[in-house]
Amino acid sequence: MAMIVGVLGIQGAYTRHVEMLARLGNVSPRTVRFADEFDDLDALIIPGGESTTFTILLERWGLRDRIIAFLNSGRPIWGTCAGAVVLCSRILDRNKEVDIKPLCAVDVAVERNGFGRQVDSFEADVKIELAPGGSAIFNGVFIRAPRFSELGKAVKALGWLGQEPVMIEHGNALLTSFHPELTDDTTIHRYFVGKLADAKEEVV
Amino acid sequence: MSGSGNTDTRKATYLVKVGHAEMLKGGVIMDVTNAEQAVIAEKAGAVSVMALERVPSDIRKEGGIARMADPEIIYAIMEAVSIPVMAKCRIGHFAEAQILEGMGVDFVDESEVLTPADESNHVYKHDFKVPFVCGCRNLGEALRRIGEGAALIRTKGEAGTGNIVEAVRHMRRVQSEIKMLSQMDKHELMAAAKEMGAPFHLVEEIAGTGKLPVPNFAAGGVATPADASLMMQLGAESVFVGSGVFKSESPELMAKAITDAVLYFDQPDKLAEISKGLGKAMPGLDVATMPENERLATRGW
Repeated sequence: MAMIVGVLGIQGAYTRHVEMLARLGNVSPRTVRFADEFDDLDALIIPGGESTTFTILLERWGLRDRIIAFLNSGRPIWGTCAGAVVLCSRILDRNKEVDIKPLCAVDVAVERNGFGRQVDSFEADVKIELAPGGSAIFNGVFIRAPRFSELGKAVKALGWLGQEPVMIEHGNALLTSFHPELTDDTTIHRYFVGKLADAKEEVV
Repeated sequence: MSGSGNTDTRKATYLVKVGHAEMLKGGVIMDVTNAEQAVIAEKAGAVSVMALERVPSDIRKEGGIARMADPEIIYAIMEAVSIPVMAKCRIGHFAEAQILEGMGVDFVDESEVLTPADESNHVYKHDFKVPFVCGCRNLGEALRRIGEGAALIRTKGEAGTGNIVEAVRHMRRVQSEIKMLSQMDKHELMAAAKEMGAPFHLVEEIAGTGKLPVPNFAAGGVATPADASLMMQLGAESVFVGSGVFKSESPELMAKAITDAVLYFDQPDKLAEISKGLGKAMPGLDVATMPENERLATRGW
């Protein structure tokens, strides 16, 4: 049976994730924006968009608690850019802590727009190492991208821009500060769905 | 502040510009004239704010030459909110665009709402690091702007009227022209490009893909949650609201309601709930009886 991967569809580039997932074959992608749509998902992606908008709408429409319940169930979750901001443990703007409660899926501080505003946005080669000894180059698209700092002990880096971690993992939660969904490369989507297959086996 | 160490970075690429427009999808971009309004917009859930000196309905009323906003106002807005900040330059006024780019605004709207600076030419947008949004009334106009480098297209509608009729006309026109192209035999495409005044390579591309190569938003006349829903159902991927928020009776409520209406644009039950008790929407203007020289949408070439 195809695995059901939800993409939070309240705002942002969610259709790009859905299109990428559809290319993988063994996955049935689903856009979710109602509180009762989270239960039968095998995994969830929080896409790029505006993190302030996400936070406000999640709270206003009772979706925040549903995502927390999803996290507590241990199912895989992945946040790209604004999605990573929502899933971190501390949010900073220009080094000052922001009055927004993140969902704490990954023990890391995130500085919003840490790489600058839109005029500073860029593409760059990201070195990813998704299996021991197997590193590859991925085209990282960084748009008003957040920056990770204060990684917790249990947090593993899987991708780097120069020396700086830009793709990190904590248990079943994955964060990327860049946008794999804007490229044609399905490597990271495949990796995420692979985690899901592992998680399912553990349950069985 | 790239901070990426020794890594080579490629800035201002097509992907980076259009990618930013992708991030704004399914959201509302609100016109604001000061930092206070920007904070109200951000708290309501806006994905971006458009900084300008006067909202379109005031430009209409007061007349005179409408120009790029005072940098001091724009800086104050950029300081006040964390969401992206857009600002308008006059059609063809590349010097205003250069100033806005230098200030670090996140998107420039080369807008018919301001008084045009050039009656033949638009800004050559490929040369800029900052992405541009431009208005259109039909597909040919959209493709000319994309040909010049626009990363995002919006309908023109008729700004400052609170009347959705023109935005509907422009959105329907663009959609039906896309459908027409995608059904054409390839021998017919050059004649279609000539007829529309559109770059041939973009006409050919759309005939193949059946959609614009950049996101397509609605603007010009959105005044209620139902207006936002209508435009989303007609194929808009986000909504710009100009005078509709801050010329309504309760801007906070209206800003929230229009944001929610874009999220649940296809859910009539939720929309009824969202539309309740918002106070008066902005007063509207009839476009049909408006003299041609008062129409903003006819600006742009």
